[in-house]
Amino acid sequence: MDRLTPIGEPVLEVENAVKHFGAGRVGGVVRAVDDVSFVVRRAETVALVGESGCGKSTLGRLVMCFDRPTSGSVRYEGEEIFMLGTAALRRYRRGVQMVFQDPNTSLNPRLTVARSIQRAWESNRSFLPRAQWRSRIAELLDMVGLSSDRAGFYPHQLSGGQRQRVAIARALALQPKVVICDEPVSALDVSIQAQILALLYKLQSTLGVSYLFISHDLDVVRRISHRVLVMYLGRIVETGTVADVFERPAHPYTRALLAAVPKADPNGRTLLTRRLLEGEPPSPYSPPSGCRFRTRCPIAQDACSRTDPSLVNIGQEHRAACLFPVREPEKL
Amino acid sequence: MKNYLSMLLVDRPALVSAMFLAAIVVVAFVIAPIIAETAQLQNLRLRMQPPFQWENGWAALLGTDALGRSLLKRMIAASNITLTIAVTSAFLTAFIGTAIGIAGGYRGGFADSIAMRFADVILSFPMLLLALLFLYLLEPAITNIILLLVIGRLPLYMRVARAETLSNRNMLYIDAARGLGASGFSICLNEIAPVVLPTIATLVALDIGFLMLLESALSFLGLGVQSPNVSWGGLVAEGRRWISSSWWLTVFPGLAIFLTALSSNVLSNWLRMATDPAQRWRLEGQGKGRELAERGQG
Amino acid sequence: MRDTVQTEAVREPLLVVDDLRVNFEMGETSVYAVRGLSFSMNRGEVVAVIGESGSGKSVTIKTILGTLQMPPGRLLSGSVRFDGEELLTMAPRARRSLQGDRIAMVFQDALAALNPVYTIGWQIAEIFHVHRGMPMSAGMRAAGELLQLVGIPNATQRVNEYAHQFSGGMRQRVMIAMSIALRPQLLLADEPTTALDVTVQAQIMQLLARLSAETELAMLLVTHNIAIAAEVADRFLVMYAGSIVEMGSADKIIAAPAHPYTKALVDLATREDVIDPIPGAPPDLRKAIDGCAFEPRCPFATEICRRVDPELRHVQVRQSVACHHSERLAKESAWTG
Repeated sequence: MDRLTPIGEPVLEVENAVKHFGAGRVGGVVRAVDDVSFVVRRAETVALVGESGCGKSTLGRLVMCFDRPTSGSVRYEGEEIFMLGTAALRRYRRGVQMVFQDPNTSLNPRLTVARSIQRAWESNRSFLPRAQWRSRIAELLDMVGLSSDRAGFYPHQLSGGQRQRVAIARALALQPKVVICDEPVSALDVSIQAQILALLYKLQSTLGVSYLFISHDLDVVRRISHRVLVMYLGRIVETGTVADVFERPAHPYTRALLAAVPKADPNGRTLLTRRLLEGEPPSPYSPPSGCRFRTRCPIAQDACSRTDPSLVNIGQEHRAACLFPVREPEKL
Repeated sequence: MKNYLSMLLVDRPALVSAMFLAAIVVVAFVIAPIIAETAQLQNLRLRMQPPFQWENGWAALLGTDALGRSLLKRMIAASNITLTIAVTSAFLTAFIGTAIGIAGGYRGGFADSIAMRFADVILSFPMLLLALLFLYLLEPAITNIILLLVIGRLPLYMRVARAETLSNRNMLYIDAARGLGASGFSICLNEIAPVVLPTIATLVALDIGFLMLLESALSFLGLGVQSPNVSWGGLVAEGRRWISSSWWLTVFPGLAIFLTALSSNVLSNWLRMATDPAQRWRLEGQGKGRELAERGQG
Repeated sequence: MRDTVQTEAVREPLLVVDDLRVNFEMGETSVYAVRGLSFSMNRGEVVAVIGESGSGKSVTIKTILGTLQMPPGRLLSGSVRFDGEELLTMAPRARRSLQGDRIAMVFQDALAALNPVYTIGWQIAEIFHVHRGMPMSAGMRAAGELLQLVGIPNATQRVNEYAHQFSGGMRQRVMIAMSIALRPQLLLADEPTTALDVTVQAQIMQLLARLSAETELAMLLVTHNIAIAAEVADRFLVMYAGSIVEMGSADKIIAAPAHPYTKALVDLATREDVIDPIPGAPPDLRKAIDGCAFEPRCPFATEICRRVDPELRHVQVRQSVACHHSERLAKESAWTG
């Protein structure tokens, strides 16, 4: 399947976003997001990848304007979202929507499918006249592959995959330009994951919507993204196109992450002999000095404890935050 | 509505309770006003008649009191008072308490703290002491009794609504509503209230019985509804004097209180299941297998 | 003489499951959770049960272990023989004492399986104390060694810590340590790494693979992730809607899956683009299924698939499949590669 080439102009710009929790608390500050910058262009899928504690979900919440950042800015179509008044914020919400992680709790169990979708227009009265609500619901359900007779169903009467489809329909109700997908398929069975991914892909082709795709599952990310941002302990450690990151990973963490992904290889098992990353992600309360990854890094050296590396260019759009990135295009 | 009816038909005890309560409601609000005047009729020839003496006429079916008044008629008239007080108090408390609880639970902050401290103050008074103070200072009129019961029970609904709100506030569907641009008020009304409603409805059904008993206790203490109006509790209180000789004067009103409170309890259990879409399968007969399959498999 | 005895022991399978049928019943509705499952496992073998929700894989494990709640679960028929002895008809106490130190289990959620009020070392020492009569002090030492074996750093200090002081991956190692303490013959692992981060997941799977390779531990691994299964298992059991649809050598199945469902799973795990997924969802197990359970979603389905439930047949050495069209699929696989 070929990918719709993203049209150049940026829709969402994140600049030096920082979110610290617990300033003044005894245990210290949690640097959940620490100076993150990136851009999402029209009809593009940008993936945020990382393990627990890397800050990707926090970042998603910042972009959704659910939390205020400690510093930094997020601009939508040029406008700074954290300075918007109530009415303007509501207009922002029409442009940027979210599909949440757990389809079992992202739909209100007491509301029917139709009502859940309709909430979008109840909260934005001028968007769609009431008379058209019913037909639009039927259209949206059709778009996500559900028959319109599901409109009167309650969430508990639907399967996990169907619930997620409803959540996607709801996210599209206001015709957003950007949909933030926070682990949208993690809670689903593998064969259903494939269906939802295919649906998201199709919707991007037909509607031109951009995705900010947050996930820990590299196989999923590989299939659906144009560009990938790898996060570790609140920082971006590598960024580039899917080909750059998956075929020519430069940062040792990215390489370790890719090495850890289980592979179904008929030519034999490598698990027993593969060199795996040791240890666990350090506590976000007190990240290591210098490069945050150095405590687990297989190629860490003295310089790594003194300098916190910033992103350096590896290729055309490919950058990595490492003092000793792997530059040879060596396939994993 | 049709759905609720069929769910009711499945649960026999609930069905019986509902029918009983419906009958009581008809008696209290339709029949009672009609016979209100004749309930006070005294017939000194038929004083202290035991029940089921057919020769005394149908009015004396449940016996008569010291003034020859028909217990049956008095009970019918009293049902109006009793139910008015209980139902009005229950719904009023539920409405006010839930609204405060949800608002406080969702927004938190200063207003929420004030509301909770207010609730604590009320709870720190034993109900009957509160009643004594209240009704001693103001006269024991029906409106004052209702006011007292509402104030006394308010903290319960506030607490329950607030607790449920707190536990649901961080649910993803609340985030989703925020993401769609819903205001705080809209979220409280359209997202949180439907979730809290089943619990509150159950509580209301239970409370109707409880409030009746509470009102009876007040009557027992002489703080309840005053003559010539009388409630079931008042009838029990009056009949106390003759309990060894004219047992029917306490037993029948007491039985009425008991059966009504019991019915409301049973119905509240049914309501718990019927109002929760996820629990309805218990009342539907076919969904059970699927529920189990979903929980046991994987 | 000794040689013959040894080969005898090696040849007899450790676990034999024969025609297992389990329902869930409540009132009039029955859910056919496991519909005629048969397989066997040898000592030291690693078998992966692969399936999604509704496949019956968890019910199978629980039935083997004996933890399935029996109403509403109901065993219709079948047998589970462990080391020659029938488990399903055994009295609970006898079964517990047989299984006790010979079958062990690792769950998905370690925090729920560990006691929060006793130290980890104490819990392990207690296992030795109860089953081997070891005094607690010796048990604590043994616990330290076990923790070291499973790769927990500072093991001798960490024996005195509590469950909540360990991270997710470490807790899983602790649970594995507890399960292998008595040197069981069979380890059942139900989605042991699903809740863990990718890098930690790999570490745990590596640990399990090493344990199995270095001792004679047989492992029955339940997972929904065919790639994880491929990394450790010798054999696969692919389950769908309560039955085995394909069974055999892991390498052969990955290279050339013979069942359309398996092929779909393998494709999802190995191909990199967004492929046309199989439509639909697993069937409603409340109804008895005539014909093949996968038929509504199968691109190769024909009339016979609707009427006749295919039986598990050998298609080659160490590969069996339950499909009417497995030859056709084999040819297609050969073309697309």
